[in-house]
Amino acid sequence: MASPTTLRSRRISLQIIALVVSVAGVVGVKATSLIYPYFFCPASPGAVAACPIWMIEHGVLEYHRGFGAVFALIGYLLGLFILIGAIFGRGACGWACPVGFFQDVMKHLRTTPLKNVKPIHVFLISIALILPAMAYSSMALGYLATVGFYLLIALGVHTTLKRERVVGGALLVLLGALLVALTLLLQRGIIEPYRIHPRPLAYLTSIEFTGFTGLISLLTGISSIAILKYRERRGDPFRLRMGGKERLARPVKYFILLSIAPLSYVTGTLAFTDVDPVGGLVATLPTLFYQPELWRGNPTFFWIKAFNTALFVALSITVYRGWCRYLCPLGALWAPFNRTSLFRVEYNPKRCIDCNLCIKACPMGLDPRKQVNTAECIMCGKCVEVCPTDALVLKLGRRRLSRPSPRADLILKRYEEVKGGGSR
Amino acid sequence: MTLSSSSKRLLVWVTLILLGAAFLISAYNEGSLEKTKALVKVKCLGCLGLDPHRGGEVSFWVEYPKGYSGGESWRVGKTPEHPDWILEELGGKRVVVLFFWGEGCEPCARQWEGMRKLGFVTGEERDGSISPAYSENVSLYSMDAGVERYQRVYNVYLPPPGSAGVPMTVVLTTSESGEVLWYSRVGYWEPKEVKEVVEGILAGEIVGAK
Repeated sequence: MASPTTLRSRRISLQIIALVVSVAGVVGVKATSLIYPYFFCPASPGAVAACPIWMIEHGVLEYHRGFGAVFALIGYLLGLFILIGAIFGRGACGWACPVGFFQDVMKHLRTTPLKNVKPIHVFLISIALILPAMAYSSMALGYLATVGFYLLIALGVHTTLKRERVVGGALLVLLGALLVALTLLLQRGIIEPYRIHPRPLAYLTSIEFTGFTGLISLLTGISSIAILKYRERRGDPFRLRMGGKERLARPVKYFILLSIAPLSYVTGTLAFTDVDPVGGLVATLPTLFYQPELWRGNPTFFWIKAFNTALFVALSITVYRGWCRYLCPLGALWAPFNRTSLFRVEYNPKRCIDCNLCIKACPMGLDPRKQVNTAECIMCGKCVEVCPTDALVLKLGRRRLSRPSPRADLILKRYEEVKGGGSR
Repeated sequence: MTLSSSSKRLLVWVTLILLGAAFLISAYNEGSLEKTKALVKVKCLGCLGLDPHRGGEVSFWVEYPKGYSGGESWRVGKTPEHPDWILEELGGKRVVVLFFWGEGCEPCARQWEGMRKLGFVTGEERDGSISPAYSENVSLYSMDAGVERYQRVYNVYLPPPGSAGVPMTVVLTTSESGEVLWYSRVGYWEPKEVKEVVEGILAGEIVGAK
């Protein structure tokens, strides 16, 4: 195994750093001319750079100002992405993207047992993260409360899918149903909406806050219970492998990418951005936790966005990296660079013992022995982490990034002895 | 002569690097950095699916008022540095309206369309003006907040980050003593209300206005 701890801790550290840098505005960093190399919304409180997809849309909408104005945005995006892509390929998806990180966290809470941590502790931590935002309006507290909310959702998912207790999902459904019912009462004026004093009421009387969080809780709870019931009969869809009908869903992300520019041109709007769930995940929810009293839902697309965000969270617990596999247009933009990028996973068939550990580890449902560095590979290195014989190695150009495992040669030698003896 | 796969990969890689660099340099010459920064500064409300809410009474200010940003602000108590051309315009007209919008901004388009239907403005967002019925006393400037030169004006009347965004509508007039009175609202502003506020000034109903 190629120093799994080092590789994993490096990846997680980079993902956390990318998330923190993405919201550097929280500590006063001003807007920059940079473009995030991953999905992150410039409307997120504290965001400091532009979203690549949003740049495509703005580039298209600049057409009436002439080629120069369009090229200033599209050319900048393409130039930057070609350079980064030539070096890292789709590596940003596996190593930096906060949306990928969110899906990784969801995966861990779904599959990893919480050692020495009781669910009640996680519940109390979540509440402790949420409550300060209810008392004071602060961008940083808004983010902490958002983390607390997603932790609460993850706790429900963990209880249902890891501990196999329906109560977790049922509580999420109950919380979601209560919030959705509250939203309906607020919308009909049966309870007076937007009563902002005292501050906690700003949350419970904000139609957008109750509706948005309610939908996420409700759909996640329903999905958890449905997955539990489904896997009892037909197996867990989380580790769905590439192939068959699953393969048919993969090109959807390319269609989404190709449709963004024409849709913006035809509608004259930020057609994808207006409804994309990533904005809901990293921008709408933190904003509502930060200043629920200052915002009202856009009458045209708020509910579509809220529903899409809830579906996104549900997808992230149903299929590992489901967003990256099927829907992410940015992943589609990076994909062609995988074939030539310097950052890559190299496979040495001579060292492979066909243990299949890499297949089990791959978040994208690939067989790394055949599909490493293909358009679907996000270069996360999880296959490298688990490979016991160093048949898979992570490299940047000629430089090896994953340290050789001291036991790799021994395992390989033993395997060859056993294989040679015909006992396999 | 046939190239080995690693040589082919190297060739493609070098081509990509050159292509990327060429795109970057050309885009830089077209002002990509300034343009991107200007866009990032204006909050993308589409990403949020939310419109800032600035309801309630319209009260005209001379200085940045307390609570203007939804809380305390370093600007509170200071007088905005009104651009010279606005001051000149106020010398000839009783009211100046500034309408800031953004490309692809749905609430901006909705507000503009609403004002057009009411006969308050004419034309499209990007080249619109005040309707002839008001043009004797009112000037209207419709500006893309994502364009750097307009963003300087936008920043004068913009509440600090957190509630920034487009559309933003600013109404300016002068008091009898010659002070500039102004009111700014970020987010969709009901077109009927905008029209009523301007008509209120023209009818002398706004206290202090000339």
